Amino acid sequence: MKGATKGVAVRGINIGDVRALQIPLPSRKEQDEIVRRVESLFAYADRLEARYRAARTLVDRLTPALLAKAFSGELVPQDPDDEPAGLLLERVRAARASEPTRPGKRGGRRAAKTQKPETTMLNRQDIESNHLAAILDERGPLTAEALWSAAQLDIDDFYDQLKDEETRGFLKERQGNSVTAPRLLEVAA
Amino acid sequence: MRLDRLRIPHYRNLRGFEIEFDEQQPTTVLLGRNGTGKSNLMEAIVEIFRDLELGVPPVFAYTLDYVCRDHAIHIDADPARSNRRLEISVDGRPLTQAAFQRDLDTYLPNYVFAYYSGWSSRLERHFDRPTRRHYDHILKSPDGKLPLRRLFFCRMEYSQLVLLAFFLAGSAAGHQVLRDYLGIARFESALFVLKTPWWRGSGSPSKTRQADGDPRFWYARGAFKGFLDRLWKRALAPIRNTETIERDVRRQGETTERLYLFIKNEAELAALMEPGEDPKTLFGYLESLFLCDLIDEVRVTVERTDGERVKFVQMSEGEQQLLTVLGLLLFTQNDESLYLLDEPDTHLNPVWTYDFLRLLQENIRAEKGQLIVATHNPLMIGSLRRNQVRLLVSTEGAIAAIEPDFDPIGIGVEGLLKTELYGLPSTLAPEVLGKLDRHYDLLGKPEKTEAEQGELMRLAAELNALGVSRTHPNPYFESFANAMARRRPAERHAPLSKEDIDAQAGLADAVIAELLAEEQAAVNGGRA
Repeated sequence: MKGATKGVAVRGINIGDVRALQIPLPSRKEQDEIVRRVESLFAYADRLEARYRAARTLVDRLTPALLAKAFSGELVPQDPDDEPAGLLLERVRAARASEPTRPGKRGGRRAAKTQKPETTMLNRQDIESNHLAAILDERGPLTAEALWSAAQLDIDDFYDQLKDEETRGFLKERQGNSVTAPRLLEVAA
Repeated sequence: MRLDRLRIPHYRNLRGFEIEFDEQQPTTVLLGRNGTGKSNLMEAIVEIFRDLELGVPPVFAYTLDYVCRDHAIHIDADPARSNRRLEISVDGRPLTQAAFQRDLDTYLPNYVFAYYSGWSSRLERHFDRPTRRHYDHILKSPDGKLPLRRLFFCRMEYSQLVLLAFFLAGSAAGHQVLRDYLGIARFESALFVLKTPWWRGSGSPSKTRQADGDPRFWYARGAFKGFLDRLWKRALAPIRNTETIERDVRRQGETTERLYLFIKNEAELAALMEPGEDPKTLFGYLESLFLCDLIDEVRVTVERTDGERVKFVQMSEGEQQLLTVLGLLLFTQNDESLYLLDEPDTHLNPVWTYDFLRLLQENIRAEKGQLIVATHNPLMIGSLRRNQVRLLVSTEGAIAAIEPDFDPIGIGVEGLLKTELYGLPSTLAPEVLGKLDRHYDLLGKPEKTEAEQGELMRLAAELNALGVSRTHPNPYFESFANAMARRRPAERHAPLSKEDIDAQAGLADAVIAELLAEEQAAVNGGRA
């Protein structure tokens, strides 16, 4: 089209030249086919979304379902020689009664605030003086995160305990050369 | 830095207001009832110094005289004037505003501290602009020293930071206060809880941040980078953990990454300061971490004098408040500073309130600073002389600041409450007072009916049971009144005959002899 324009000051184009232009268009049949394919792709997207939603609902229900199965004993093959639940409870009760009564849980408020791995939390009064060193002895050197998670203590208690065990020479921190290298905790030699 | 005189034609409820400070005194207490403009005066002072530092035109008219680094500075501000809205003279010679701005470190105090314990954020809001400026400065400036800013509002969260600075100050007086008033023997440990700052966003960090920022601390850049690195190196076993924190019941818990840095003892804490730095510098670093949203809290554990470990947050509000104010004063005591404390005594028990100013004066030699305390608590000024007190009283719609015509130290708290300042006729409850009045009415009646005689007896017994007339600000009167009450014959209130009066005088003599003997015995007992 640019090639067909004429003139220097005012450039113009001849109507005849425009009429002679060829504009390629697909045939009507081809156009119908394109529309059909786009429609079917949209439908496919909708189906995918529906399947995703269904899967999502299933996942959400999975934990309760799993728990339900666990409690009704369908999760693993049952062993008739296992101790009945009633007896186990009795044993737990007896163990509790023989324990000295614990003072109120320390740092209860903080524990509620900080999300931790879902484990039973321990109190510092109830653990051995080498609680952390014993874990390191069994598992080898650990990162601070791994040791904290294994210790089952809330963060404040963990650091208090760590300080005590380090001061007593039960464990030590291995200082890495690079600042970004993980700093491992290990049993003191 | 001492304020001498401030005149304000109109600022909030202050109209034609003028106050003169005794610039020889390091402490001035502003005492007044509610609504007499104590807080407004504090705010006006903050606004004046803020605008002088920023170099912006004044928003209200005032004239101010103050002494700073041995210069007598006079400022006359009036926004209504068409030009020269700010006229400054130093030692009697006029100074242009530009020259003043060039030499702020000579003409302005090092620090203007403000502390307010109440709910309102009115005072704090005046610090917004300087705070934002400081904040931009921290994030943009290269790694290096961070000066504490000139205008400083002490937030409640800073009490823990102040505590750290307290331990590091190594001042004997500071440790004494910790031991005597709070029962704190020494520093045990501190857990710094750092968190993802809001400016980190959720995408990948920008190119400048990647090149320049520290990946351990969410690509933080700026002046405190070096300090963060020190903190990381000194910490025992840093833990990084993603957790959900509930800050507000109305909102959903916020999931954030936290970094726990544990400083295990005083030696490691001291190592956070590099040679040539002081606790003030450390406080500056920590405060900038707060400002830049990098730190959630500092959990300080201390060892009490009884050997027990306590977390600082478990201490009472009063203890925290005392510590915050004292700490701030302690580590800036060698500077030319102005301290504005608005009701620093709200959580203090009466004994501490009474001791507060004495404590400040004994432990902090604010030779170059000035402390202005606003309160409505008469206990606060019980040990002061008149030139240390300014009463703000509202008369006919105007508020005046006057020097009391008595020394508070002489008349005691009871006496203060009965002055025109508080206007209580007595510190006794109105109901008891009514009974006392009736009692004296009946006593003075020459002819009493039988019913009146009965009422008198009943009232006397009742008042006696309540212990009225057994307390007195003067302890000698008090023990006398007590002894008298113990020995008083039952029928005391009948008209007295000559013999009765003689008997009573004899009784008084006996009581005094007895008291003297008691006192002698106590002295001997003390010696034994």
